[in-house]
Order: sequence, then C-alpha cells, then structure tokens
Amino acid sequence: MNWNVLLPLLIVCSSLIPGVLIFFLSESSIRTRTALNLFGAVLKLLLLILVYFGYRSGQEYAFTFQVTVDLQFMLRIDALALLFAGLSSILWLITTIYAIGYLEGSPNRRRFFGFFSMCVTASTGIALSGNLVTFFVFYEFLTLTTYPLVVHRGTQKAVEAGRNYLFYTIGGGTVLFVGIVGLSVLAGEVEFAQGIHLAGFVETHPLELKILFFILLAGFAAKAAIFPLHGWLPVAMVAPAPVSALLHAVAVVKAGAFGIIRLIYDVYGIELATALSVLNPLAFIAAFTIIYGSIRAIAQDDLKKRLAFSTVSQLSYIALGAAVPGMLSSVGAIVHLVHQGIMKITLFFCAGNIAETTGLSKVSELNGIGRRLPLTMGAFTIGAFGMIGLPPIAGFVSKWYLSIGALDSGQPWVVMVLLGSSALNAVYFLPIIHAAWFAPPPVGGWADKRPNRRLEAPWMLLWPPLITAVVSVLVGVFAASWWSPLTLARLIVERVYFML
Amino acid sequence: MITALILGPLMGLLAVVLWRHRAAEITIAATVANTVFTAALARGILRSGEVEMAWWGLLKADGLSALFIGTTTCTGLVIALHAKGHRQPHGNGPIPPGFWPSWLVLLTGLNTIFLSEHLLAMFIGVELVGGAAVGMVVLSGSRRALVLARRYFLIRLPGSLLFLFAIAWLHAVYGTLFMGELRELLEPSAMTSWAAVLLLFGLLVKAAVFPLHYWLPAVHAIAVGSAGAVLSGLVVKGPFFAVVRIWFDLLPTVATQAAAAFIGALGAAGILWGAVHALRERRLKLIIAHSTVSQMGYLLILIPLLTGYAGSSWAAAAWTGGIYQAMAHATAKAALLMGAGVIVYSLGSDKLRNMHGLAGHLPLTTLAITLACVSLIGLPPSGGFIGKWLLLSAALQSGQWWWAPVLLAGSLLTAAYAFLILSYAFQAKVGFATVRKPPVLMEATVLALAAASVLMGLRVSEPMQLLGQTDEVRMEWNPEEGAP
Repeated sequence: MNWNVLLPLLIVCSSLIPGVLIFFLSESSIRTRTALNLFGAVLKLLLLILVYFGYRSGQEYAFTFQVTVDLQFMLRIDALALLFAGLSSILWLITTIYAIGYLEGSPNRRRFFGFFSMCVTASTGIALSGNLVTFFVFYEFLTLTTYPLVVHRGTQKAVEAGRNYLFYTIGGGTVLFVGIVGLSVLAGEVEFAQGIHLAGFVETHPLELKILFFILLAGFAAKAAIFPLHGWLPVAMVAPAPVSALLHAVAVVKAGAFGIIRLIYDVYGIELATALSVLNPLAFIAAFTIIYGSIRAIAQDDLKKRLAFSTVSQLSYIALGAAVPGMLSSVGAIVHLVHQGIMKITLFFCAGNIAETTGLSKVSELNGIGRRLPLTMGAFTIGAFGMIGLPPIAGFVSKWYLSIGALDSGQPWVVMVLLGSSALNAVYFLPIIHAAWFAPPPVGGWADKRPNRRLEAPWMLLWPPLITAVVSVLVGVFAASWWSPLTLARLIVERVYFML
Repeated sequence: MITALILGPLMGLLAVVLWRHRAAEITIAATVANTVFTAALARGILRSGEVEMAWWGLLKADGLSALFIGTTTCTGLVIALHAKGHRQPHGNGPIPPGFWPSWLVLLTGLNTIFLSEHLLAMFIGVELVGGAAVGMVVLSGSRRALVLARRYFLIRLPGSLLFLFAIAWLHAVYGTLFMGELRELLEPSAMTSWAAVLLLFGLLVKAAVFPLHYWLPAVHAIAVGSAGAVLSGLVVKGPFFAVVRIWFDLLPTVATQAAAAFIGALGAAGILWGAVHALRERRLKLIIAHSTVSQMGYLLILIPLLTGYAGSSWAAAAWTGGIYQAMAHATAKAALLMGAGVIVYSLGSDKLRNMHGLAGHLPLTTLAITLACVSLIGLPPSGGFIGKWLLLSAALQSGQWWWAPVLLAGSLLTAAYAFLILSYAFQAKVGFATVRKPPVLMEATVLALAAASVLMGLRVSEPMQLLGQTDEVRMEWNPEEGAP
C-alpha cells in the first residue's frame, strides 16, 4: 500500500469519518462539531490539490478492492474526477460555513451536519468512482444520506417532499441497477475507460447496447431532473436553504449530470455512442427540458421554486452539450457542470439570506429589497446575469462553447434552443433584479425594521454568496488561465477524443 | 467438530436445567462455543476442500452447511446478548426465563438440519426447531400468544406427519434414507414424485411460502423482541435449507424444470403479496413480519434459476446469490425485530403513529433500522445487494428474464415500506407521551447486527469459496478462473 493507492480512499474518508464522529457527539458540543466539519472540508481540499499536481505530473492514483469475481470496488483519479471532486469539495466548504450560520440555534443540528458530511462523501465517491458498480454504490448512498436532509424540518410538507424525492430517486436507482447488471452480464466488468470494454459488442449486440444505454440514462435522468423525471426537485424546496443549495449545485442533480457524462464519454465512448445513434434522442429531450424548465420558472412566484425550475433547465445544458458530438460541445458540457454549480449556489445562498433576514420568499414581495440587502442582491444579480449568459460571467463561457460546438457539428437548432433559453432566463430573472433595485420598498413590514448591526446579515451568511459570486466572475474572466475549470475541461475532452 | 456442534448446545441445555439462575450466562457461553466450533469447521472445509462426515454418515458438513450454521450462530449470539439486556416494556423485568432453553433447543435443531445427510436426522432437526419455536411464541405469556402458539403448533402438525409418511414410504421402497444413496436409487415415477411433493409440502408450510404463509405474520409479531428475531430471522431458514438440500441433493434426477418454475412462481407471488401487505400495515412488527413472507420468496427464485442448469455459466451466480440473500435476510430481519423490541420498550407500543419523532429520541435504533432496511432493499454495499445482484445477473444470463421484474418490484416495494417507517421517525411532531431510555446492550446489539448485515457485502470471497469448494456438482466453478 503506497500513497498513490491510499489517497483516493483518504479523500473519500476525509468527510466520511468526521460525519460518523459527529453522530457520536452530543447535540450541544457545537465547537467540536464545527471544528470537525471544517477540518474535514479543508483536509479534503488540500488532498485534492495535492492529487491534482500529482496527476498533472503523470502520477496514477487508484484504489481497488475485489468484492467478488465480477464486482470490483474502484476509486480512481482522472481529470473528470478531479473536476467534479474539486467542485464539490470547494462548494462544500463554503456551504458548511453558510449552514453553520443558517441553522444557528435550530434543533437537530447534530443529525443535520452528520448527514451533510455523509452527503459530500457520497458525491466525492461518485466523482472518484472508477467503474459503474462503485458509481452505483455512492449514487445510492447519496439518495439515502440526502433523505434526512430533505425532511430535516420534520413538517408534514417536508415529509411529503421526502417521499416524493425517494419515489424518483429510488426508482431511478433501481432502473440504474438493472442497466448495470445488464451491462455486466453482456460485457463483464465495465470500467470508465472511453468505451473500450463495449467496443467489441457493436457488431454482435447493437440492440442490447442501445436498450441498455437508455435504461442507464433513465437511471441518471431521475437525479439530473430531466423531463419527465424532474417532479421531485421543485417539491424538495421545503428543505433548509443550505440543503437546497447543495442539492442543486453540487450533490444530487450534479450526480445525475455527471453520470450522464460518464455514460457517454467513459462507458460507451463518444464514437460508440455516435455509431449507435443514441445521442440524438437525448439531445431532443434535453433541449425540450431546457425550454420547458424556463417556461415553468416564469410562472413561479415562490423564489426558491423559480430557482428550482431554473435548475431543471440549466442542468439539461450539460446533457445537451454531451449529446452533441464534437470537442467544443463537450467542453461546454463539462465546464457547465462547474459553472452552473457556482452560479446556482450563489442564487440559493441569496434566497436563503432574503428569507432569513426579512422573512420574504415570494418574488412579488421583493420590491426594493436591494436597499435592505445591497451585498446579497449584488451577488444575486451577478448569479442571475451569469445564468442569462452575459459576458464575462461564467455562464457566458459555457453557452459560448455549447453554441460554437453545435455549429461546428452542424446542428444549428441547438443554438436556437440556447438563445431561446437565454431570453427566457432574462424573462424570469430580470423582473426580480429590476424590482429589487428600482422599485420602492413597501411601507411597513421589513422595510421599517433597520438592522441593528453593521452588516446586513450575519457574516457567515453574507460571505458565502459574495465569494461564489466573485468566483463566478473570475472563472469567466480568467477562463484561459491554468487553474480555470475551462482549462481542466479542455484537458478532459482532449483525453476523451484522442484516447490519451 | 460436527459432534461438538450437536452436543455443545445440548450440554448447555443440561447446564441450564441444573443451574437455572445462571441460564443466561450459560446459554451465551454455549452459543459462543458454537460459534468457535463453526469457525473451526469452516476453516477445515476451506483448507481441505472436502466434505466432513460424522456419526456413520448420518451427518455431513459441506460449505453450504458451514455457511448456514455460521450465519445462524453469529446472529443467534447477538440475539442472545440482546436478550440478556432485554427489559420488559411493562415493568422492567428481564426476558422470560423460558427463552434460554428454547434457544438452545432451537440451536441444536438448526445445527441438525444444516448437518443432516439422513432424512430422519433432518426430520428430527425440523421438529426440534418447531417445538422450540412454539416455546418462543408463548414467551410473552399473554392469552393471545397462547392461542397463536396453539394454532402455530396445529398448522405445523400435518406437514410433519406428511413428511414422516413420505420418509417411511421411501424407506419401504428403496431401503435407505441416506440422501447420497437414495439419490442414486431414485427413479422418476409417479410414486417418487408424490413422495417428493409430500416431503416438500410440509417444509414449504414451515418456511411460510406463499400461499402457505398465512399463519406467519401474526405469530412473528406477537413474540417479544428477541424471540421474534429468532423466529423471523433464523427459524424460517431451517425448513428453507431442508428444501434446498432435498431439491438439489436428493431429487436432481426427479426434479423437472416445470416443477422448479412452479416453486419459483410461488416465491414470486410471495414476494409481491408479502410486500403489498407490509405496506398496508400500520404496526411496525406486522410490517416486518409480512416482509419476512416477501423475503422468503426471493430465496425460492434460486430453484428455477438452477434446476437443470448445473454447470452453466450462471450457476455460480445463482447459487451464491440465493444463499447470500438468505444470510443477509437472517441478519437484517433479526436486527429489525430486535429494533422493534427496543421501540416497544421505549414507547410502550409499536404503532407507527406513535413513532413520530423517533429519530430525535432513539437515534441509534433509528440508524440500526435504516441499516437493516438498506440490506433488505438491496442497496449497496449490503449483503442483500450482493444477493440481488447475483440473482438478477443469473436471471438475465439464463434467459429467464421474467424473474427480473419480480425481483425489482419486490425491491421497490421493500423500499416503500422501509421509508414508510422512516418517514414517521423523521417527523418533528412527537407521537409519544414519554420515552424510556433503553438499556445500552439492547441498542448496541441491534446496531451491531444491522451494521454486520450491511458490511457482509464487502467480504464475499470466503463465503463464495466455501460454497465453491464442496459444490462442484452444482457449480463446476473455480474461483481462480473468474466468472465465465
């Protein structure tokens, strides 16, 4: 056992072990709990940075454990894994701080933070999985550990949302299970390796491969909230704001989207997937979901629900980019995985702050809110502009690559979809921003109560959205620099297409 | 070792009779000894790769026996520790003293079934288990428990008599009851088929196979925590093992694929019936008891997957999958019923609506129930996951894809009733007036067993090797070569 074997395991355990320990602490030992949480988050990040440099210099990191003859547990570092694990660990750190501030004084915090750590363990595990079976293990672990977070408030509504959530995710998990067993019956163990394990079956079993592709896709789509499997997401909004932020930006929906990316690039391989012509149906569904989600978002008056439908729409950008063959769209898809996460988490932090400081949750009540919460609304504005796709914010980079990728592969209709979606994004975001900054605040209610402190909100609630907002500008402005998600995405795509 | 496995619990029983006030300690010591003997037996088989015979060929230990004895004795040990910590929900007394001798008789009986090579030995084992199980049911001493125990006894009786009749018949015709010899002599005929049907019928009643399961839920739900765990987790595995032995070791020349498909269909019906009824119950113990009917159905799917396909490429998967499912179910189900016992102790009832807010007050028990459910549903990396994975891949490989939807539907329904329980536990409003803190030993044992049932999915190679080494007939499979 050397370090290259242990490191992937350590990265997963760096949040698992604190999570387990938190369950054994008492509810009142807040300081130890916070310390454990932050220690885990920082350690994970440091380990990832270490592994990133190792990986860039050609080191290989893999941990394998043979469960039975055709079941192997495998954690492995590749560029895509690093991208997703990096995203989730950075956002986890920020969300942990936010959650500590948000939940101050509320009951059952031990349970919350315990499962919160477990949840990030699951998404890191998903990132590092080296084969479908391992992916499935963590995928189901994610379902289980997010359930207590969704029902955290314990109200009738929360419990119902939890039931709804499980209905989709357990169902999706079962479908995925069938697909994985089917694939392993056909081809033995399937590692994530650009489809080399399946290439031999194109001639002999094309139909089976096609069917299995759609079964696996359905399994992932349930979490990625692709139409018609998106129903759980808006309902799950009853969860506390940090949970929504995590569900939307990092963990659950991203696990689904990441699964789709793995499925296309690493299980089937882009060549095989194109040859089987399974990508076009996916592109159509994704395009439909983009438009559908945006239109539904316009009709929502509840701010978090509007954001939820926006997630439904934005998530499908990833699926759409992955379904259009060609390097540039692939870059767009993979980079959007990160960009959407940063921007959407900003928006959810802001929505949480608005609700926490003024008790408002409806879009129609937000007149003049910018005067009361200038920094929060500033961050919100950046996030929303990014979603619309204004340069130089991150969202623009994603849309740029998706568009030129679509043109490059001769599918101009995709550009129309993207433009339409941008227009719709503007329709449901701009009124909020306009009302917040330019409409007069209502008389009475929140507007009369001045905060009796220097900051507009507690610092633990204020800093996280500001940081993510600044980051979403930075990754857009410095998209070409060596540390940007775009550079990493290009690296990944080069490896996918040239089989490096 | 075989001798020790039969005589050990009996000596323990004798000691319990002599020193009644030390019954609990003696029983636990005897169970520990039994665990050690099993480990030694399994080691011997793994080393030599040979079947161990004893007592003039009446008893035989192969990998399958070792696995089943190991599962029951380890689970039984945890249950016995739980029983030691058990306190009555009303008042605070210990578990009724009848539990200890009943458990030792039951252990003897189960060991006898798992080791039997002779049909009469198997019969004795089955009857020992049955008698002790009746004793477990009446433990709580309530009038309803007595009524149910009597009913349970009467239901078992015809099955036992038919089994005995079939043995006598076979002995009269073939002159032997050693399974190994009998297998060579058996010829397909109407008479043999009838004898086989009679043999199996009684066992299927006792294993609560659909549609002969109707007695089970009420009986298993009335028993006190630890006894319920023994009944639902372990007792039903005895007759199931007997069915497997008879079907694959005694009847391979007689068994037809049509009959196997029929048994599989019974299993499938049981899976769905049990799960649907579990969903409609509103008492925790009744949900768990119906779930037993459902999970027993899974085990029978093994029969159609394997009958007539000895040596096929999926035989190893089907065989280990079925056996693993049985092992995972034993541990998970026992943990669930023990957990239900803890809840009854703490809240004074097992009604779901009283369980509102349980997660906040009994976090460890809630966690244990969740883990046990993970294994029952078959989520990774639990033992149940390995079982379902192997069964599903065997079903697809063998082309008998129609079992796949049943397996998956059962899994989904299991998830539905598991999360029904949990959705009550996670509500904020509290459904109970007072909550008593359960003894540490009670909660710790539940959690340990539930965790074991999840973690057993991580160590599959030894059990597979145990099965592989002595069952070449069924598998023709060599772990070195890997899966076909």
